[in-house]
Amino acid sequence: MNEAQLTMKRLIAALILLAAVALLSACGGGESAALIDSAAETAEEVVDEAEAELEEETEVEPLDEAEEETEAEPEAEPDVEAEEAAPEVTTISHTLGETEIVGVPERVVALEWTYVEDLLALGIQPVGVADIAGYETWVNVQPELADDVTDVGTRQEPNLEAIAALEPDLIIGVEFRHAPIYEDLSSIAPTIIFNPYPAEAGPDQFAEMEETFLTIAEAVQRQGEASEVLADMEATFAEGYDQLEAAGLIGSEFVLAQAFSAEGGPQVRLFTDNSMAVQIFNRLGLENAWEGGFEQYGFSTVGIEALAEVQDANFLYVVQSDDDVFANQADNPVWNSLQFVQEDRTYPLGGDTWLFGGPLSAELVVEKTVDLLTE
Amino acid sequence: MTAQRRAAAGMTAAREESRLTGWRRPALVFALGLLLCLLLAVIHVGQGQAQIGPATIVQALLAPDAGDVLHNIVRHVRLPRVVVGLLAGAALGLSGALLQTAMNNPLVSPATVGVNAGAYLALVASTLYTPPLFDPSPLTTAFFGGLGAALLVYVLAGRRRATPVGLVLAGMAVSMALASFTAALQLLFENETSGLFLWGAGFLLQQDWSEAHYALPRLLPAALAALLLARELDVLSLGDATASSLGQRVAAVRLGAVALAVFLAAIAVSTVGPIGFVGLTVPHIVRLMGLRRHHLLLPGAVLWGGVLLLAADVVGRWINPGMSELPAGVVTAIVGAPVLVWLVRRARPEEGVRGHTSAGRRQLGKRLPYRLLLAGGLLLLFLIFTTGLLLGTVTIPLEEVAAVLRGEGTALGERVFLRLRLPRLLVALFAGASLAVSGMVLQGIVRNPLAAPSVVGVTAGAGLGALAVLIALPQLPVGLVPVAAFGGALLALGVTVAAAWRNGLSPARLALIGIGVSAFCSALINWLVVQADVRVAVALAWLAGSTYARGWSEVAQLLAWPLLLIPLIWFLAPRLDVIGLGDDVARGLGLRLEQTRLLLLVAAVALAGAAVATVGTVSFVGLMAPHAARMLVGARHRQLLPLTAVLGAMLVVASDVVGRLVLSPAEIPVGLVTAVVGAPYLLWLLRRQ
Repeated sequence: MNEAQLTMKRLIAALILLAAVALLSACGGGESAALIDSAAETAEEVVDEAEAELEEETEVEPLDEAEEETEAEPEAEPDVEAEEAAPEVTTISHTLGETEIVGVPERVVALEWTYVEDLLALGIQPVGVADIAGYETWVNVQPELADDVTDVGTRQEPNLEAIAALEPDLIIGVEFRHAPIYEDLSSIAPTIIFNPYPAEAGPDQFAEMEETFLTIAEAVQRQGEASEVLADMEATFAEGYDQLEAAGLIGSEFVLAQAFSAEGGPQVRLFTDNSMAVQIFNRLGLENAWEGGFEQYGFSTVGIEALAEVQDANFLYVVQSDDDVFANQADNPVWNSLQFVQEDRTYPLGGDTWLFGGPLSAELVVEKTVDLLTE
Repeated sequence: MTAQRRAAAGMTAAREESRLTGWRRPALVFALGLLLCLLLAVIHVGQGQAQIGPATIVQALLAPDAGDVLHNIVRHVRLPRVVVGLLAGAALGLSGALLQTAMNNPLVSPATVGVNAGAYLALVASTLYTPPLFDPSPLTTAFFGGLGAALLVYVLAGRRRATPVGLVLAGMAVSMALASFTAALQLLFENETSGLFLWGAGFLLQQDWSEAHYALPRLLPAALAALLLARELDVLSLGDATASSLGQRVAAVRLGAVALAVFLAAIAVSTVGPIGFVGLTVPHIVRLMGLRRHHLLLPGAVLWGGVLLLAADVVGRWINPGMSELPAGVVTAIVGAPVLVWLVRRARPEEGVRGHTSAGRRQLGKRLPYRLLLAGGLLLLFLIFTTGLLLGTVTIPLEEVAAVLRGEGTALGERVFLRLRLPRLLVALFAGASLAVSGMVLQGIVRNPLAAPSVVGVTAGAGLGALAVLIALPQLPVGLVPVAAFGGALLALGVTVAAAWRNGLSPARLALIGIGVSAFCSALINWLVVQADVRVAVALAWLAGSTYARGWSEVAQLLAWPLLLIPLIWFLAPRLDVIGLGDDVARGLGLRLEQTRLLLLVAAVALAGAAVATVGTVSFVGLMAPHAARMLVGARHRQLLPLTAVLGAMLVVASDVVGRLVLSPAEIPVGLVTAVVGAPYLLWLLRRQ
C-alpha cells in the first residue's frame, strides 16, 4: 500500500458517500439522515483504515523494493532495534528477487506440487496445498500428505483468503502461475517463487530442481535433512547405475514419453535433453534417442509418426491407467511395426510417476526404470 | 423484399450467363480443382514428423511392405489425413452452399450461424460427462448440438423477419455464448481437456483410417441428397414469392436444405473439430468462377472445399514444420476472415438493418416509475455488493466486521475486507458498468440489439494484445498486459472502422467487418495458445475473464475510464436516440451523423477496452444489461444509461460472488459465471419474442 493507493481509498470513500446520497435522493428522503451519517462514517473508516495500514506497513514491510536495495541500513525503526533478541533473519534469493524470512517458518503453504514434495522430503507437512486431489492423483511419494492439510484452491488461482486465514509464515509458488500475484502473496507472508523451466541459457531442469530443493531447505532451515535426501538420491542413482551395468545396459538408448488422449488421437510428449527426467536417465548411463533440441518445458509434443525416428531405442512411457493410450494402439499398423513394439521393449512407468517433481520423485523414476529394464 | 428481388434478378442474369458459356467453364473449373487437389495431396503426403523420401512414398503406395514402419506411416497416418482433409473440406463447402441458398443470405455458413460452436460444445461436453460405454456416436452428438444452435440463432434473429445481417449477428452472439461454455468446461477440467484445445482450433492429425471410414459413408448419401435438391434450390433462389408461385413448398425445401447442411457440418466437426470460413468462402469462390446453378455449384463446393482445407493444412505445416504445427482451422480463419471483410465491402449497402433496437417496449417499466426502478436497482446492487463483502471462503463474524469498520479489526479481517474483497468487488462493479454501457452504445450505433463489444472486434483485439504479451513476450513485465490489451482493442477498432468506412459508417458493414476482424484476432489467439503449451492455463483463465486477485492498483487503473466516459456518453445520449430513427431522419434533424457515430464508437470501445484490459474477456454483460434495461425503461438513452450501468455492475458483482462461493476454495472465473447466466437469458429472450 502506498500514497497513491491511499488516495484511491479516499476516492472510494467519497464515492460510497456519493452513491448513498444518490440512492437517497432517488428514494425521496424519509429516514435518510441516519443512513447518510452511517455511510459517511463508513467512508471515514475506510480512510482511517487505509492510513493506519499505510503507517503500519512503512514500518515493517520487508519486501518493499526500495528497502531491498538499502537493506544494510540499520536504522529502520526504533521498534526493530528494541527487539534485538528477535529471531535471526534469513535472506533467500529466488526467481523474483530476495525475500527475508524471520525465524524458522513452521506454517508453509505450497502452491505447486513439486514444492509440496520438497517439503515432505524435508520432513515438513505444509499447512496449505493447492489442489490436493490433483496432487494425490499425479504424485506418488512417501511420506504422504497429512489429512489435516488445508486445500487452498486451484494451482492457477489459489484462494488468497484461504491462504491468509492459514496465517502462514512462508509461501512457495511457481513463476509461470504466481508471478502476477507475487505481491499479494508477499503481503500475506514471505513468499519465494521458483522457475522450474529455465531458459536455454540457464541451468538444466535437474540442476534447477536440486538448487530449488536446497533453497527451500535453507528457507525452512533444514539443510542437514536436505543433504541427506540428496545423498540418498545419489545413492539410488549409483545403485541403479550398477544394476544397469550388470545388465549390460550402460550406453543404451531410450526415449521417454508421456501421452494422453486427445480428440485427434494420442498426443505424445517426448522428453528433450534439458528435461529433468532425461538428466536423471543420463546419470544412470542411459542415452536419450530423441533429438528434439531445447524445449522450454522439456518435451516436444508429437504425433505417433515421430516415434519412427526413435524406434531403435527402449520406449519408456507414462500414461494414466484410465487412458492407456498405447494399449489402444494394438490394432494400429504404424504402432505395431515400430521396432520397440515388435521387440517388446516398451516399459510403462505408471501413471503416478511425476516427471516434474523433486528428489523423491526422481528416486521413484529411477527405481521403476531400473526394475523394468532389468526384469 | 427489395433486396430479395434484386438477388433474384441477379440470379436470373447469372443463369443466362452460365447457359451461354456452356460446358466449357464448368469443365475448366472442375479440372483445375482436381489438378490442385492432386498437387496438394502430393505435397501433403511429403510433410510430416518422420523423414520419408519420395522414393519410399512411391514404394509405400505401389508395393507396400506391412512390416516397414515408414510404409505404414505413409499408408496409415498421412494418406488418411489427406482423405479426411478432403472430406471435411467438402462437407463444410457443401454445407455453406446449402445454407447460403436456403437462407438467401450470402453471409451465412456453419460457423456464422452457430452450428460449429454448438456441435463442438456438444462434443466437448459429451467427452466429459458420458461414460465411455454409453458413448453416443460423436456425429449424433454434434448434429444435435449444431441443430440446436442453428435453431436458437434463427429464432433469436426474428425467424422469417431476420435480415441477413441480423442473422449473422445472432449467429455470432450464440457462437460466442457457446464458445464461452466450452471454455468453461476446458478450464474446469484442465487435465482432461488439454488435448481438446488444440483440436478446438481444427486439427487434421490422423492415426489410422477410422475417421475417414467413419466420415465417408455418411458424407456420400448427404451429398447425393443435396444434389437431388439442386433443382429445387435453383427455384428457391428466385425468391420465396416466385418459388411458391412456381408450386414449390418453400418451407419444406428450406428445412430440408438446412437439416442437410447441419448434418454435413456435424460430420466435419466430429472428425476434425470446428473449422471456420471454409463454408463461408467456398461457395463464393465457386460462384465467382461462374458456377451458379446448383447442379454445378454444389459439386463445385464439394471439390473446392476439399482443396481449400487441404491447402490450409499444407500451409499450416509449412509455416510451422516440425513439432507444433499450426492447426488448419487457424489457417482457414486467417485467410478467410479477410475474405469476409472483402465480401462485405463489395456488397451493396444494405437497407437491411432497421432500427429495432427498441425491441423491449417498456413492458415492465410501464407499471413502475423510472426513479423507483433506478433506486431499486441501486439498492439491489448495494445489497449484492455488501453480500459479496460479507461472504467468502473465510467466514468472518459480524462483530469482526464491525471491528474492522471501526478500525479495530484483526489483521486477517482487515486484509480480507480491505485488501481482498473490497477492491475486487469494485473492479467487478466498474468493469460491469463499463461493459454494459459500451454494449448499449454499440447497440445504439449499429441499431441492432445483438451488437456487443465483441462484435466490433474489441474483445478479440484486446485478448490478442494481452496474450501477445503473456505468451509471445514473456520477458516483459506482467503490468504491461492491460496496456497491451487496451492497445489491441483500439487497433482492432481502427482496422474495423477503416475497412467499414465507405462514404460514412454503415451500421451493417461495421458489424460484419467487426466480426471478420474478431475472427482474425481469435485465430491468432488460438495460434499463440497452441504455441504456448503449458501456459495454456494462464491464457484460458485470462480469456475466460477473471476478477481474481484484482486489487487497489487495478481499481485505480480502471476507475478513470468509466468516471470520465459514462458522463460523456450520458451527455451524448439524446443523439443516440436520433441515430435510432435512421440515417435519413438523423441527417434531416441536422445531426452530424458520421462524426457523432465515430465519437460514440471510440468512447464505447475505450470503455470496453479498459474493462477487458482489467478483467479479461467477460462475455455477455454488454449484450444482456442494455437489453434488460430496455425492457424496463424503454429506448430513451438518457434513462437507459444509468439503469444499464447499474444492471451491468450488478451482473458482474453477483457473478464474482457466486464464482467465489460455489466451489470454494477453488474459484470459478467471473466470465464463466456470466456466460452461464447469459445462455438462459438468451433463451428467455426467445420466449418473449
